[in-house]
Order: sequence, then structure tokens, then C-alpha cells
Amino acid sequence: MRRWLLLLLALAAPVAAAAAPNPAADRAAFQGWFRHLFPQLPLAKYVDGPYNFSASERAQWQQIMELPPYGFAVDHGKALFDARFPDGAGYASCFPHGGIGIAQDYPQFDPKTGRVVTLPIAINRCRVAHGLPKLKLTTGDLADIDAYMVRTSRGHKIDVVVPDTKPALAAYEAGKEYFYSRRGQLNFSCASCHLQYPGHRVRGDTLAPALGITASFPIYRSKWGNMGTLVRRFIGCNKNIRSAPDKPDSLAYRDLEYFLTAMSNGLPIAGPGARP
Amino acid sequence: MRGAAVVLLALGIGFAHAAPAPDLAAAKVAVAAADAAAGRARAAGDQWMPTLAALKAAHVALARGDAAAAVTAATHARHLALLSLRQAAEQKRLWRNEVPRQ
Repeated sequence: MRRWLLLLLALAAPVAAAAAPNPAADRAAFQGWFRHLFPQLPLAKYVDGPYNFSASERAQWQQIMELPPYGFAVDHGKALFDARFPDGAGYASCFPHGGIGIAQDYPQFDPKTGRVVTLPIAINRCRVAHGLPKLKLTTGDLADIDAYMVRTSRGHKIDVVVPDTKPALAAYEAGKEYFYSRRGQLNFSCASCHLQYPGHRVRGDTLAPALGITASFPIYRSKWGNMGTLVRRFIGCNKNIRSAPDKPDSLAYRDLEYFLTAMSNGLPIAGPGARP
Repeated sequence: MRGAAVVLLALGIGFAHAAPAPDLAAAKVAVAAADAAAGRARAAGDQWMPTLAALKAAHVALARGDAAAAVTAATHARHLALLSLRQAAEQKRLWRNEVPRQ
């Protein structure tokens, strides 16, 4: 009887190990999938998103980038970033290195709150710590400040850390489950479009690959006519598949951004970006 | 044979006319059931936008006293919510099938 129990335990151990969250192994498989799909495409090019798959769209984008549409947002974001709070402090006081060149380290897991903190949420936290109200997380001033901070990080390699602790791994795993779960009346997951059909068209749009997709945010989207954060895009995607969106600061979107960005570790920050 | 068919048809029409229209009490029950199902879908993290639209239509119809329209919309909302709950339950297991493996 005891021997049988030992045998069962030995058989169960590898299964349990396989089910344990392993961000490094996930990332290798994730990036390997895209290398299998597009063997000619260098890893760093994924940050160009849909422009890798359409010569005409790429040509238009290159022309647009001669005078980037997010330029005003970056300037406005810098002015807001440099402005003093009523208590005399500024955004720089809330971040390491004065907030310059740090976007590649976000999102982060905060062990104190047990929650993922994205860069826009960290900006709002800074405001609250200095007695100011939170800004809208999807667009407007916060997206502009985000754009400036991301612009100072351009070229830095994404380096999202998932600590080997139960709460951090749980948040990572929740984001992973969200990414792969089908939802909404159209029964789509994030992966349905951005992992299984990158480069294909959905009506007028070319689907961007999930790999590197976070590197260009915030983006100036021609459809919007202004800047938007990654959460704004999540909300839009949810609506497209007839799924009621979550709140911009929801745990679901925080965890999703955590997982998705961690999958792009090693790719360069390319934001702010411009998209159709 | 033909005469019997005519009689049956007449009876059928009679029954159709005799079917009672839903009253406001029945509409309130239907809307409450739809609200509950939508609440469960929200809690499961898989609310569909058409569910919310149908639910809103049911509440609007109820508010203006149109019991029949309220029941129709509430039934639609409840069925959509139940479908989304089924989707959420299935995806708890099925999402792993979409994960790329090395």
C-alpha cells in the first residue's frame, strides 16, 4: 500500500511542477511561437506591430513619423511632468531616476498592496500621495504624461520582473488566463486575434502580434484622434467582441498588462506610437 | 377530414387568443430573474454587452408599464447571461488549450 502511495506521489510531482506558473518558460514558448510564425522577422521588429505585414501601411506610417502625431502630447506631458505640485514636489520625486528612462520596468508587482501597478497607475498614485485627484486612466493628461515618460525610455529593453512569490505569480497567472480565455458574445480571446492571426486583417485593420504589442503604448490612434493608454485599447478590444469592459484600474486589466508585457521582455520600448 | 381540420384550426386560434398577456407582476419576476443571471455573469467576469442592452430594454419597458415587452427583453437578457455563464465555466478549463507550448 505504501509503495503504491509513493508511486502515485512520484507520478503526480511532474504534473504539479508543469502546472506551476513559470514566466520564463512561458516567455520562451510565447516568443518561440512567433519565431515559428514569422521566421524572417527579427525579434526587435515586433514592436512595429501591424506595420510588419503591410508594405503600404508601413510606407504611410514612415511618412507620418516625419512629424509624429503624438509630438504635441509628449510636449504637453513634459510640461505637466515638470510642473510642481502644490506641496512643492513633482512627479520626479515619486520614481527612481527622477522618472526618466524607467518605463521598461513597468508594470510592477507591489507586495504591499498585493496588486500590479502599471505606469499610469503609478502616476496616479504619485498624485494621490501629494494630495491631488487621480487622472482618467485612458486618455487626456495622464496619457500625455505617460507618453513623455515612455519617450524617455525609448530603446530600453522591457524588463518586467515577476517575483517568485505566491501573490505575484497568482497575478501573473490571472493575466495569462485572461489573455487566453474566450469571452464576449463573439467568443474571442485576446489570443484569438493577436496570437493566432497576427498579420491577418479584421475588416480594415491589420492584427498586431501580441509579442511587442505593449512596447508602443501609449499610442496616438488616428481613429481616436488623440492619445490612449493600453487600458483604453483593452476596453476597445473587449467592446469589439461584445464583452462588457472592466474598469480601467481593475485587477483584470492590471494582471493582463503584467502578463502581456512580461512576454515581451527583451524587446525595446518603442513608444509612444502611432496607429491607424 | 377537411371539416375536422377547420375545427382544429378554429380551436387553435381560440386558444391563441385566450393566452393571457403577461401582467406587470410577471414582468417584474422576469426582470428580476434576468438581473440575477446578469449579476452572476458579472461575478464570473464574463458579462456580454448584448446582455446589458437587453436588460436595459427590459427595465425601460417595465418602467413604462409594457409588461409584454419587458418579459420578452428580460427573457432574452437572461438567456444571454446564461450563455455567458456557460462560456465562463467552460473557459476555466479550455483556456489552457490556447497556450503555445515549446
